[in-house]
Amino acid sequence: MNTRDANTQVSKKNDTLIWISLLVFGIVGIAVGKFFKPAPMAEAYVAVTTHARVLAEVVGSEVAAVDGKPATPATRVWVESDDPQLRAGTLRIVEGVEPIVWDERSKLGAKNARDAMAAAGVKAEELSQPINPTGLSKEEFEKRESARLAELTELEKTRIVPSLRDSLGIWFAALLTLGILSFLVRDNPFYKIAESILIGVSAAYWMLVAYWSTLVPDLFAKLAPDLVRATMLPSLQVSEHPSRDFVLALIPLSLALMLLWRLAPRGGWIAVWPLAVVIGTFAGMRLTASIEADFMAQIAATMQPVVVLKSDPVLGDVGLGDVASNTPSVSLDIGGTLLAIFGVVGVVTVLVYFFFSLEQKGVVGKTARVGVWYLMITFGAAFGLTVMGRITLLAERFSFLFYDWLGL
Amino acid sequence: MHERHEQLPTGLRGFLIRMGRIDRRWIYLAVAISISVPMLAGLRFPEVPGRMATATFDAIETVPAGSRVLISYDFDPASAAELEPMANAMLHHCASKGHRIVLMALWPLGKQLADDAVRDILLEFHPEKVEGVDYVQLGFKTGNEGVIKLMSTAVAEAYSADAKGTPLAGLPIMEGVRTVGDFDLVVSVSGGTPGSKEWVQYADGAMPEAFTFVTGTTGVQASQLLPYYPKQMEGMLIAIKGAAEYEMLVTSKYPVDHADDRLSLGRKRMGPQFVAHLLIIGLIVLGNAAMIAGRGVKGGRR
Repeated sequence: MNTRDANTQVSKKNDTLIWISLLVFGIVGIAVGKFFKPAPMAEAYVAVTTHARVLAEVVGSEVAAVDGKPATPATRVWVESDDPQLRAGTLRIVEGVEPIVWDERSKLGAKNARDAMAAAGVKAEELSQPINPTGLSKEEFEKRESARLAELTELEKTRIVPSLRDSLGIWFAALLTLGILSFLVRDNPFYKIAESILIGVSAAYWMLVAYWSTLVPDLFAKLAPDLVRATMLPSLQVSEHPSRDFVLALIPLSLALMLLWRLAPRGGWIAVWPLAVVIGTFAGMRLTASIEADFMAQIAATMQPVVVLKSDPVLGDVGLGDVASNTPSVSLDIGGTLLAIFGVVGVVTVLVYFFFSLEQKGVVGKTARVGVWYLMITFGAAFGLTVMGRITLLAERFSFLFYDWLGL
Repeated sequence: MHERHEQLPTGLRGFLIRMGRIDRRWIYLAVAISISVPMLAGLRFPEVPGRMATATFDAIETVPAGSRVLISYDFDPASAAELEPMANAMLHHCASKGHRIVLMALWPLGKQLADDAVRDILLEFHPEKVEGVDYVQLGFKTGNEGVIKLMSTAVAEAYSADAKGTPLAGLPIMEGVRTVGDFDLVVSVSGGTPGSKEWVQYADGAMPEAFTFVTGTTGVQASQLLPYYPKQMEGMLIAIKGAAEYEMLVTSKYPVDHADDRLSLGRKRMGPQFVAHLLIIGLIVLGNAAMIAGRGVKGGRR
């Protein structure tokens, strides 16, 4: 048997074992989970609140015809169907006018939906019934709800209903997650599909974000505000200085066109000028910010007393301080002092390590060596924090797969 | 003959050498088990708040009730696993303390995440809060650090209206706000650039005296931001551990009646974290031992 055959055999054996382990682990996990907590997969609900507005008239506002003066009808207003004035009798619903009714749907997690249903004593098969979103006890809620519904008939109910659209979304997201994770076993078509979808969606999303958050409000709205208001942004505010805005908007428009000149067969040098503006602007912005925040402020933050003192509180007649003058006593803060010395040594030795004008041997070399240890500790801390971040991301995905998708 | 068929030393040394050659997919499977089992078992550990979590809590707590707090959602769903728990806790903390909350986003999807938080946290636990008076959503503004720079000179230059189109001049909560320095506290929940670093560079750099800042950040960028604490940042929550500690502080002082986990997500995710970290530490030790054991053996790690 040659080396390649042996490698292939070992790889196949490993593949088989890994797939069997994954299947066994997955099936056992799901079976155990379902045994303890039976729930459907990809369960998704929406809370649907039915709002209603009714036409009402103010009781007693009508004026009858007197002495040839025509009668004045009652004042009419559109109000919420549970407006307190309707119950108080100061308003009455106008008969024969259909109320304006609309549904507001808001996404609800499966757990929250189940909790709400349990709190309201509603079973899954009675999902069309109103549920208790108020935190009242079951009896209080039912009492209030029956009284309210008796007045409002079928209007303004909040109910929880299963959402097929959201369930499909969960299935899609779960399959994409598994597709991405499958890369850990080996590269495969499912991973490629998931990766392509991610890239395509991201590119399209960023293009739309750039269009709606930059081009429309910052360029088109300045050049043609009336057109933008009529076609794209009805809520666009009227500028106090439309002429100035128009002229100023011509500058980025010109720069953008110059940048696009790069695509032309000749005159590519024109695209260099807007690039120069972009680079110059950012260099200027970042330079001053970095000097202030990362250089001056950091130097100031490093210049701390090496010997750290702490003030002990005045403790009345058993205090350590001068009670008569109300002055707290001062003592050496050993921990703070050690920390300050540790910091100073770190700053000096790391700076020496990065000082390349002297050969790193002798005292300089030994000092730089200490600096290397500081750097190693820093990299270790950074690695640990990165691991923590990545584990959290994986835990969140597992949480999604276990709870949202599998319903464990 | 393939190297795996060679005669390896027996005993512990042989075991270590074999472990050094293990297919890495077994390690992936071990990590998956180390996360999923504690998660399904609901493993949790008590959190002891650290210095930075306490400093962050104190920074929000010591600002008088009714102060204006700007919370910038500078992250998107890719880092929401780490940052959403702390963002939720911060929002609940500010609302419980009675602060007036101004929300904004330097990342496009940050606005949606902030909207979700308003619906699921702010209005769920504090239904008495009134939009425009107690809180307002300014939304996403394109321009990255340029937005912060603009807000350092005039907030109205960056945002002329809130996310619903109401002019800032008509919002009671924005009365008297000229620059970002007029907020009593600024909070950035940051998943990268633009985020915490840019807030320090462009806002703290422009008005160090008037600008009070705390942040919550991902583990990956925490080491870059640590030098800013405590001089340029009053507090800093680092990744899910910081979120778990802070959640504990907040819910201890401002408990919620609702029996759900929206304000304990950080603590919930620390159980799997703990077991996975133990596994990774064990693997690092094992890998080093395998490397030492494999010295001098053909095919061993050197």
